[in-house]
Amino acid sequence: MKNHKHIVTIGVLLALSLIFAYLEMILPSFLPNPAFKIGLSQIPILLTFYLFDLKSSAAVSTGKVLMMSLLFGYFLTYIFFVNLSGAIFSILFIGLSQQLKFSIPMTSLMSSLGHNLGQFIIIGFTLGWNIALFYLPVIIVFSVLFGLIIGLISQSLLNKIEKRI
Amino acid sequence: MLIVNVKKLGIGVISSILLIFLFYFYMNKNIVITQTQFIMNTTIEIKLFGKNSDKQKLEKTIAKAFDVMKEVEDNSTSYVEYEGNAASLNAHRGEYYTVNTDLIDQLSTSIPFCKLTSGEFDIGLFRTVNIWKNGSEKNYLPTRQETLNSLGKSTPDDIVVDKFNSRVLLPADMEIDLGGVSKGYGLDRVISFLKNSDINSALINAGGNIIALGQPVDRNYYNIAVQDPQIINKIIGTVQLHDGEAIATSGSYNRYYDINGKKYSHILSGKTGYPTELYKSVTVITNKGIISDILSTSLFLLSIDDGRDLINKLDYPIEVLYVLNDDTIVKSEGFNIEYSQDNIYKNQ
Amino acid sequence: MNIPKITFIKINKKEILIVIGLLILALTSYLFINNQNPGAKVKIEVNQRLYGTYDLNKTQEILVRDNGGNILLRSLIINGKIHVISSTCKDKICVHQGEISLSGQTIVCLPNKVVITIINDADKIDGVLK
Repeated sequence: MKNHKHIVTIGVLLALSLIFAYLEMILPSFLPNPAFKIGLSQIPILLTFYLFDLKSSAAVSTGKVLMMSLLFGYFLTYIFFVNLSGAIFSILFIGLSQQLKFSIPMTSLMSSLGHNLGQFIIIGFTLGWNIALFYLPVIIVFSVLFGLIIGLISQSLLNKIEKRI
Repeated sequence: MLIVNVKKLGIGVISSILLIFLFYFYMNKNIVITQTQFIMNTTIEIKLFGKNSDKQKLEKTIAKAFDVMKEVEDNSTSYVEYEGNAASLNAHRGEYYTVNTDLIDQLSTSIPFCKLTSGEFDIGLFRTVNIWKNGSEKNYLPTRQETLNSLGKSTPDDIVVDKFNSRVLLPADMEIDLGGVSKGYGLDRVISFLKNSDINSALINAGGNIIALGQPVDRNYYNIAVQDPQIINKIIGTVQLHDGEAIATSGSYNRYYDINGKKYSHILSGKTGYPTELYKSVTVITNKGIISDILSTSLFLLSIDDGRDLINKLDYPIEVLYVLNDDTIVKSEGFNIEYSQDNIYKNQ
Repeated sequence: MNIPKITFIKINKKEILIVIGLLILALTSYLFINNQNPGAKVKIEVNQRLYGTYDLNKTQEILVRDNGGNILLRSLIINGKIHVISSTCKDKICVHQGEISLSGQTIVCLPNKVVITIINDADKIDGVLK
């Protein structure tokens, strides 16, 4: 199954994901809390999932966390584990959406929800659940909103890609 | 292809994660367990702070903590005789008598204060106290001569405490009453018991004596309201009590002998056997329950200048607040109190 | 390249229901949590341990240090609000977050594990000395 082209494409998608993550880091946030992100880097991960399979998107997702932590010097620190947990949960939720036969925007929403849940489980265990609960409503609203937007972008991209093939 | 139903598995995994999450959240919730019991003629309230997961342990510990307080009461009472307690010691005065360690500890800590206060603070006042008790029952005001006669010739300095053999020699003309000592001592005993039981945060309130261990959830201090000496349910202000600190108050308002409609403070001078009327109340903060109890009583009997001399002689960190008879407040510089807004007290 | 045919599933009723359910959950939990009165005190925790409680009405600078005494961040209380002036963390999210003043609001510095929370039950009485 896995040919060179497959691996190269995944590499390109991972690079894209890193670029998006970096962009989100340096661009000023317009959201109420600068810790909230739109999740542009989820686009390549969703593309990987639909172009290949769950395993490949898991590789891109965890690869992104790993590379970002190495590039910005927080590998194996607390933040790294928070992000890793987010990535793992995000993939779990994509897998669940696949089983439930969700549409692309809905899958994206689930992935974003999973991402936040994964991060908050680690934060809750280490810093207390009160903070996690305090942010819960905001997190849900943003997950729904940006999850759907990212999902719609990915869907139109996939449409275009499919026509090219 | 996996043979197991991935859909069901996924839902199962996620819902069990959520359940664990909720369970952990529940167990990690901060709780306060509060219980009150009537011991040492007063209502004792113990508050233990901990996590929901420790609830059973906290409940067991709180029951045992009250047992410690009861044990101290039995060991220190002058009214009911138990082997080796104060009442038995009073009965065996004039000879060496083997007593329990609680009594040894209390005697060896409190006797020096009798000399330091030049006889004002006195643990040998059992007979005098009884004269006042009888007086208040029969509505008869004891005369100064009567109370003076009850004092006897010996002073607490004549008590011989043989720590090594746990023996005490009480002069034949003296009977002890540890009323101004054992409540504070009991608090110290409960705190050391709680520490040994791995309790990190607790607040024990014996009415006029409070002792703090650790801290409550959101703060590194306990908020203690100091009651107004005259008006019930009104407070002078609030004090922050930190880990290890003990606060005690002595006043003419909470315990008194009611004779002919006049209130006589239960705090008696060791020199006259009569109550003093120097202040409405004296509040002391220090780092030991027994010291806070002894000091609040001692300072209540001494003039402010003599009190200052006494504090300077001691090695404990001590802060003090007096409410004078004209409602003026005099306090040491380090006594941090936040006055309640509608108080009638003038701060000096 | 071996690309599977992407099946574009349309957004259906079931999904809309889930979205509505999520939004209702968010709204109810918001109403449940929301008690945003101006707070009186600010609590600072480092690694889940209470670092200190400070008065919001007193202008003061608070240096938050770790167990080893190294400065983690500097925060300033002014006009009943607190904000982080500088932090040793890389992302500076806590610094960019600005001021908070309502009870329950938090500033979290994840890399340093510092949590700043506004509280208003700090004046609760724990015991009465009679």
